[in-house]
Amino acid sequence: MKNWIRWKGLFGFAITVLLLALFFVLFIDGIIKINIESAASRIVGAKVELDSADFHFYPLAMELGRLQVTDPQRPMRNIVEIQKVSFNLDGLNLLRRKILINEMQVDGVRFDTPRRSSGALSQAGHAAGTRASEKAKEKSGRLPDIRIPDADKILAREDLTILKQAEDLKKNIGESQKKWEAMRKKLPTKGRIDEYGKRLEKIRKINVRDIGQLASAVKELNQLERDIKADLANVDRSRKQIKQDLQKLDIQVKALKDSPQQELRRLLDKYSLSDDRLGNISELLFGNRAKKYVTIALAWYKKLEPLLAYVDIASEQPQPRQRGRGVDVRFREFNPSPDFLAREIRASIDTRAGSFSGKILNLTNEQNLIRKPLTLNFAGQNLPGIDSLHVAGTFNRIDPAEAKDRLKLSMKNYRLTEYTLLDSVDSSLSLDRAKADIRLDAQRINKNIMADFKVYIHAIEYNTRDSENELASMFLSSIRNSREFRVDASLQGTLESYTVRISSDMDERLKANMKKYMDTRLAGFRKELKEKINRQVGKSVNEVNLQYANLQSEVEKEISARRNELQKQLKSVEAEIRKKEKQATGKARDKLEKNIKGLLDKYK
Amino acid sequence: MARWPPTNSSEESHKKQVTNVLRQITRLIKALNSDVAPEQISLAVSFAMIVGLTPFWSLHNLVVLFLVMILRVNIAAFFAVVGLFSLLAYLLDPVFHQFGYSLLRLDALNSVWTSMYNSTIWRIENFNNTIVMGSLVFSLLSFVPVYLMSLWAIKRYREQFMVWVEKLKLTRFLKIQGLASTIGPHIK
Repeated sequence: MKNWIRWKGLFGFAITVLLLALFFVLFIDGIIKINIESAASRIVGAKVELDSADFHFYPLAMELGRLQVTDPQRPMRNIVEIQKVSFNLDGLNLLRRKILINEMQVDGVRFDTPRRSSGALSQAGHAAGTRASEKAKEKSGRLPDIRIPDADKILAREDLTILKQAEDLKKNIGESQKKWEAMRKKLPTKGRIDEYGKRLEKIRKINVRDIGQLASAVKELNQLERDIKADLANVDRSRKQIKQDLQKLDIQVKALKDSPQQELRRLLDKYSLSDDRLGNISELLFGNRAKKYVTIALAWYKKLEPLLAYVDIASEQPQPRQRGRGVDVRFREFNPSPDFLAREIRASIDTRAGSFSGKILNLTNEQNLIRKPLTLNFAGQNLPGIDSLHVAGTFNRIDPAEAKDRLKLSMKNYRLTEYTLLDSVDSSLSLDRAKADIRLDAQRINKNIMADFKVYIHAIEYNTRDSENELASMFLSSIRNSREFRVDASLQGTLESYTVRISSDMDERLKANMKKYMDTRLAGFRKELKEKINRQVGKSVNEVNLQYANLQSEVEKEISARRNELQKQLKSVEAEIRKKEKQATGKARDKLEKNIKGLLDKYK
Repeated sequence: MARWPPTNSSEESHKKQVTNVLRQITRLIKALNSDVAPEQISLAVSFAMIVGLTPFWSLHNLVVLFLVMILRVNIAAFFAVVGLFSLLAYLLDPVFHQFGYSLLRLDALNSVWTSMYNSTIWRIENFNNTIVMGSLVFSLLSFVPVYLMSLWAIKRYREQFMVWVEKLKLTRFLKIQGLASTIGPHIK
C-alpha cells in the first residue's frame, strides 16, 4: 500500500454524517413517538397512543399532542387523555442520557374518555376487556322480598317443639309425683301423731304426789319429745328434697309458658319475616363499587410506583434483559442527578364538573438524589359542578427503603347527576340530583396502607324504579324519605391484602323503618300465627300447669299439715315436761326438808 | 387471490435474510478476487468486525466509519463483512453481556469507570452498557489478530484457491444471484 490516506473519503464521511444527521432531523419526531408509545404501552398493559411528538432543537424542547392511555380493563375507553404536554430539556444532560425537565405544562387532562378503536394490545386482551365491561354492567341481585305465607300451612309443616317440651315436662312431673308418693309413705301418719297425743294424756294422768311416778313421767316425756323431733326432722328432710324437684319443675313450667312466644319468633325467622333482614345497607349499595374503585386505584398505584423509586438494575441480582440490549451499570456520580426529573409540572384537568389546575413537584424515581419528596397540589373553586376542590399529596421515597405516601382529597358540594346507587333485577335507585361533600385521607407507611373516606350526600332528588317486590318497594320508599345520608368507608391492610369496611347512617334509619313497616304489615299474620300456636299447644301447656299446680299444692298441704300437728304435739310435750319437772323438784324439796327436819328433831 | 404455496411475513423475511447473506458473500468473493491489496481487505475485515460485533448506533462506530473512509480500506469488503459479523454478534450476545458485566464490575477498574461515567463523551458512548463494553473490548482485542489472520488467509487464498474457486459452479451461481438481486428490482 503506497498511500494509506484516501482524501476523497473525507467527503464521503462528511456526506454520510450529514445524511445521518438529516435522517435524525427528519425522523426524530417519529422515533420519539414510537419509543414513548411502546414503553408506555408496556407499562400500562394496553395501547398508549400519541397523535404527535414535536422535538425542537433550539431551544431544546418537546411537545406531545393528544396522549391517550387505554384502560386495560375497558379497551374502548381511555383511562386518561391529555391534549398537550410541552416541556423544555436540559441539552447537556440529555447527552448523558438524563432527562431533566425544569417546567412541564400538561393541558387538557381528561379521565375516562371514549376511544374510536380498541386499545387492547392483543385480540385476547380486547376480548378479556370486553368481558370485564359486560360483567361490570350486569345487574346486581334481588332485594329480599316479603311473601306472607299461610299460618295453617306453616303449622302443618312444622313440628312444634313446644309439644314435645310439654310431654317431657309431664313425664318429669309424673316422676316427681311418684317420688313424692314414696316419700309420703315414710312420713309420720295421722295415727302415729295421734298416738303421741295418747301417750301424753297417759303421762298427764299419773299420781303427781308420788315422786317416783313423777320421775318416770319426766323420763317418758323426754322420750316422747325425742320421737316427735325425729318425725319433724323426717318431715323437714322430705320437704327439702321435694322442694328441689319442685324448683326445677317450676323453671321448666315457666319456660313452657314462654314457649309459644319463642315458637312464634322462630317461625317468623325461619320464614324470613323478622325485621332485621336488611343487614348492612351500605354494603349492598356501595360495597361492590367501593371495592372496585379500591382495586383499580391500587392497581394503578402499583403500576406507577416505579416512577417514584429507582430500581437498581446493577444490584446484586442481575435483572432479566432483552437480547441485544445489555444492562446499563451505574457508577457513582461526582455531581449526582437523577436519570429523570421533572421539577415542576403544571397541569390543567378537565372533568364534567369543571376544570381545575395544580402542580406536581419533583417527579423523579431518585428522590434520594434531590432529597425532596414528590408533592402534588390541585385546587379548584366555584366550578360548574363543585363549589370547591382540593387534592394534596406527598410521596416520600427520599430513603428508597421506606415509603411514606399520603393523599388528601376534599370536595364541597360536588353535584351528582343520575348517579346509580342500586340497579338490581327487580328495582333501581339513582340519585337524579344530589350534592356530595367528600373527604379522603389515604396513607401508606412502608407496607401498610390505610384510608379513611367520608362522604355526606345531601339535597337529594331520587329516581327509582319499583317492582312487585314489596320489601324492595318499602326499602326504596324508606330511602326516598331521607334527603341526606352519610357514608363512611375505611381501608386497612397491605397492598396485597386489605379489608374495606363501609357503614352509613342509612343502615339504622332503614332498619327502624323496616321494623315499623314489618310490624304494621305483618301484625295480622303474627296475631293469627300466635293464636294458632296457642290453640295447638294450649291444651298441653294447661295440662302441665294443672299437673304441676296439683303436685305443688298437695306437697304443701301434706307437709304443712304434718308439720303443724307435730309442732303442736311437741309444744304440749315440752310444756308438760316443764310442768312435771317443776312438780318433781317441789316434791323432792319437800321430802328433803321433811327428812332434814326429822334429823334435827332427833338430835335435839 | 390466494397465493400458492402460502407464504407469511416471517417466511418472506427469512428469504430476504438469505438473499442478503448471499449478496454479502458475493461481494466478498468479488473483493477477494479483485486486484485490491490484501492489506486493504484485511483492514476492512478488522474494522467491519468492530462495527458488526458492537451495537450499530454507538459513537465509536462513527470513528470507525471515519477511519474506513479516510484510510484506503476496501469499502465493499467492509460492508460485506459487517453483515456477517452482525450475525455472529447475535450469537455471541450472552457472552458479550457476561464479559462486559464482569469488566464493569471489576473492582480494580472501578475508579476508571467512575471517572468515565462522569464524562459526557463516554456517557454518549454508553460504555457502561454490558453489551457495548463486552463487544467493544472483545473486538478491539481481536483487531490485530484478525487483521494478521485475514491477511495471511487472503494471500493463501489468492495463491492456492482463487482460480479453483472462480471455476466453481457455486461461485458463478452466487455471482448471478448477486447480480440479479442487485439489478433485479430495477429491471422490474
